[in-house]
Amino acid sequence: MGETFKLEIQGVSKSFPGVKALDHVNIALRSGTVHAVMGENGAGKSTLMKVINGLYKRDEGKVLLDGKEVHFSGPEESTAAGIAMIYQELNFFPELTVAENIFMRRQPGKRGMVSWGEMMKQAKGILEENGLDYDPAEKIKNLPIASVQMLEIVKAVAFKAQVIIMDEPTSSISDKEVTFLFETIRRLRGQGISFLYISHKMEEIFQIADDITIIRDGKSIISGSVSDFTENSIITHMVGRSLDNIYPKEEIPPGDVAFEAKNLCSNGMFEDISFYVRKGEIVGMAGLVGAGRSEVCRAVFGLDPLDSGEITLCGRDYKPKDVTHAIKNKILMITEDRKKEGIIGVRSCRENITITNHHIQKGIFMNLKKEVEDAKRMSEMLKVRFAGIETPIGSLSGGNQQKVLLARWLMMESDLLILDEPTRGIDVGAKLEIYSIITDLAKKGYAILMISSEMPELLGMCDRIYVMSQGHVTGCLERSEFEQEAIMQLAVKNVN
Amino acid sequence: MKSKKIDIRKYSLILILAAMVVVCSLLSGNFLTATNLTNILKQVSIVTICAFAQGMIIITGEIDLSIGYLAGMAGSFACIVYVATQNLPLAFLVGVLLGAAVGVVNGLFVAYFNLPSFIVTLAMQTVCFGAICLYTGGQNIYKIGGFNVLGQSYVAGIIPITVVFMVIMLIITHVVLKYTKFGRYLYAIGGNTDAAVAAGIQVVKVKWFAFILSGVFAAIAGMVMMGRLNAGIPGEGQGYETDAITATVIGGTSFSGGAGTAFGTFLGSIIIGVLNNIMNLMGIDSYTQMIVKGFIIIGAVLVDSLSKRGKTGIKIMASSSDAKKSK
Amino acid sequence: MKRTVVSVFMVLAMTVMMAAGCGKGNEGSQDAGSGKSEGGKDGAYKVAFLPTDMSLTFASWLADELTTAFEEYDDMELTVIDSQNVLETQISNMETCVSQGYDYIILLPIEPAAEDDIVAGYIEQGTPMMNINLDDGGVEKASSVVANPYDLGTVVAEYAKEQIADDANVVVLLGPSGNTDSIERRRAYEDVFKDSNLNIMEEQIGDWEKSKGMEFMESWIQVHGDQIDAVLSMNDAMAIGAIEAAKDAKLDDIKFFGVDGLADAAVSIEDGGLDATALQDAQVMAKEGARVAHEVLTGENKEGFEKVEIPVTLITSENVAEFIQRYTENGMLTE
Repeated sequence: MGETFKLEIQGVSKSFPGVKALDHVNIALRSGTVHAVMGENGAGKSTLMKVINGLYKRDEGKVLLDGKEVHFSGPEESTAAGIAMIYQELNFFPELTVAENIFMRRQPGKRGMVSWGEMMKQAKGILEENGLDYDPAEKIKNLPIASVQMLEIVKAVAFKAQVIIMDEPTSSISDKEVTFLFETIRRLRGQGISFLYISHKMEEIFQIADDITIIRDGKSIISGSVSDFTENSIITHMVGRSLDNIYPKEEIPPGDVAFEAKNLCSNGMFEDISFYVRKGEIVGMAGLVGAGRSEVCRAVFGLDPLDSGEITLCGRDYKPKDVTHAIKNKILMITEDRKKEGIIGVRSCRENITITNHHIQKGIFMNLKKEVEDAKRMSEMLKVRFAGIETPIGSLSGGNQQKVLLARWLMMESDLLILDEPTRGIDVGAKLEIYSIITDLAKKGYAILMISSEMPELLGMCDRIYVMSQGHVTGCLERSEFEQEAIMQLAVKNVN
Repeated sequence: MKSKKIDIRKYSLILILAAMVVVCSLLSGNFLTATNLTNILKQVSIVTICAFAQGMIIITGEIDLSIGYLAGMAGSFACIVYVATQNLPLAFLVGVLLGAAVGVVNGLFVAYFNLPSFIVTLAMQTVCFGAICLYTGGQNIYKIGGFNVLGQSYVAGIIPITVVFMVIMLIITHVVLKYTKFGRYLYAIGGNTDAAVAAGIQVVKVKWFAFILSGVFAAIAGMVMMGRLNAGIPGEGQGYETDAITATVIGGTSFSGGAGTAFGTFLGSIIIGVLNNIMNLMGIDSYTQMIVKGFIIIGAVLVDSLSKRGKTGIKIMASSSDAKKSK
Repeated sequence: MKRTVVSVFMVLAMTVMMAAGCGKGNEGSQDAGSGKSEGGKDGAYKVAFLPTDMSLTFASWLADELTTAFEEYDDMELTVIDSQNVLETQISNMETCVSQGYDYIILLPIEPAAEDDIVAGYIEQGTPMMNINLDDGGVEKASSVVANPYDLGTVVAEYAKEQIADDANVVVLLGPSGNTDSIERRRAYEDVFKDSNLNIMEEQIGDWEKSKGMEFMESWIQVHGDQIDAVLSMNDAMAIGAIEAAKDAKLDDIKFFGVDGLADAAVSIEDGGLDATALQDAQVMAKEGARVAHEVLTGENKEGFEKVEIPVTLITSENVAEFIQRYTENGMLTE
């Protein structure tokens, strides 16, 4: 071993009762590079992070920093040694200011008293150095998530971190913000800082990473330079089997128009939105975060306000009122934020599947026997993997949760099925299953409207794509016209 | 993973109760007698009815602090109506309607105007108490005559009427929670209100109705209480709301909402009743009783929190050791 | 939009309240202690009565009797300000009364020992004050009109001694921990029975509540069966609760002794439940209180204070009819 690595993980294993979470994992992070760690959810990425910073004690193997073995007892020690962690769920105090968050537990001052003037001055200096024009006195809760993420990085660098470990940093930020994040990472890489970048987003890896290690079932499967991999080869290693085509798209001749919206307006959110969806068709909605795609769909579903516009549903007029009304009119929607507006985490899969179906049944009592049958049938149909229908949905993986939610809606009759980011935060294997479910639905004649921020997904799955920018529809592309570049241009088009 | 998951809370409560009964019968020869067991049931019945109401509200993630005072108010008003008319069904109906009316007001502010239930129902405490005191001028209502059949009579000669009321309310609560759509929505709303909205549940209506139901339950508890006391005493309901909270929490109802059962609440209430009873039988002084009760409550909440942390938690032992590891 | 709804609601609520207030006033029924004064007597002395808790039977009775007693005087005007049994509230009410220029304050203290220094301070500053019903004698210059709690205990205890055997088995129900009334009444029993061979089987704090008295008695009957000869309760409510429990267990030979002598006790004695109770007569107390206040305010009383002990009355089946009649007349009992 000639080269000394900045951070090296050698044969690290970690077991929990009944599970071997890490099994002789090896990763070698070169100084001044970005090293991507890829794997499906549950592959052991998060455990790995916690083993590095000492939250978990490793069973065997070594962690070397600058060639010397280290044993951290917790995040405080690892931070002191120059390893910063940026978690998927950001650790910040929403009610405190930018400056206070930067200097949390490191406030400048004497004898336990915080020197506010000094702290604000230093914070401003740090922010300026990194090209961020935030007001240090602003409360964190008033900043967009991406800015908070940037702050975490800035904070890490300000306190002399040499290695920054990031867990899914782009899962909650927009494309534009991703660009800025990547610029920052590249600049810091230039200054010799090393990154361990945990992700499962393919396109990002090719943009930012130098090296890559793929983890599957707690084992490091393969390591190498990014240039040695292709998208397909990475996926093959991640899921452990070869995939011919990710998107099981089938050409289905479209039927009658199922849903048509004309001139939908909602003050301050979107304006003059017209689109239609035919039976058997999968229609995509592309655009940047904040373009108003979710808002349009939520308004149609009765979750958000709609000021004006006309909607025709299989030839009949429809006016959104509330979700109950939408469901009765056979408009269904899987919302974007699964945890917040999708699952009822503490309740069983059975209840999560059948809740809406009960709602449309008459009478005050439920048919519990039929409920069990329904839940079993639906979860078998969608191949939900769980211990049984009584498992609390909160304990399932993202992909299985999404399947349960799909099961909930597929029990209903549907004239329009809206899927808002149906594969967000779901690992590759489950994604493929969801894609094939969607394709099957289209084959059965469902009219499907799908919002996604992952361009390849839209390109792969849809028959037509509407593109939105700044609350307006800026274009509609047929499948034959699909091209990433064209969509991008429409998505950033200035409508004013 | 085991294919069939066991609700550890349900069984742990029965085990705790069984263990308590064994220990108590060793401690006092008077414990395991028919009359004493009847006494325990009689003594817990009113709080238990309040606890069923509180349980339904806590399942939705809200709280109803007006229960105790509402019981005092509705019970006393029913006494007044009875004394004036000598018509028991009418008096009972008036009590129930008063409870429903207070529930309507609670629901208006909590469900419709989306105010915190803690504040609204706290405020309704004084409204209820003020209303009854204004009417009676702070005097109690005596000589309520036949009204006491609601609290002192026996069914079939041996079963105290209060216990009958408790069992009826237990069955109603159980059926509502387990077999009705409304009950299912309570859990859904408590589990995740936003998700319940997105699943098409009409959260405002459901919550509103829950508060009305809670008010009716509290009113019934109040009338039974006044019957048992053989007088209309407006202040007697004070504190029942907190005793009800204790019973529901010991019974496994989650304070964060979304979980809890009628039988759990029932067992929680019985456990407290047995505890009070054995301490009285043994002549333990009041101060020691307070300390013991306090720790029992903390212990119950601790079990609740531990079994939640050890997510799947099949056994109590396993879940507590899991909890240590995950720290 | 929602704001408008709220404000409309508020206006409605206030209208309802005003209407209700007027209605009450017209009926002329008792003032529940909202702090409103009794009409306008120009240039009259302003007197405040600060009861413990208007939802307690005795306090509200005393307030009624005081209001009645003050109507006899043209040059005094009484305002009742409730403290809902919160010491802190009562102290701030005193503060408010002094700063609002009240000429005299009648205090039904919640916690005399805690309030003595404050009372002494206000008297020093020139506002004369009176402790009514409860006084620990801690302020020399405060007037005091009390039925001594020790005496209340003594009359019942002496009667009880005649009624029960020398070596009787008794159970004891106490008021809230630290409560002066309860402690003094208990001490009186202690002294009266000091030479007897009384066997105290059980003794618990029942917080003055009927339901607690009932619950304890149920358990005790469980343990001691028919061995209990008498229940010595420091108030009537707990004793009456115990009676309900005994009734349910079909035990007819137990004797019950309470203290307070209000309507519930009178009814119970009439029905053959309670054996005896002692009354602190609010009517006498109120008349004496009004007299003392008037004499102090008009300067008739040169010293500026007077200590009055009103006699306590034992109520038993022999004289209960008289009280039933009285309570019916003053509205505490309805037929």
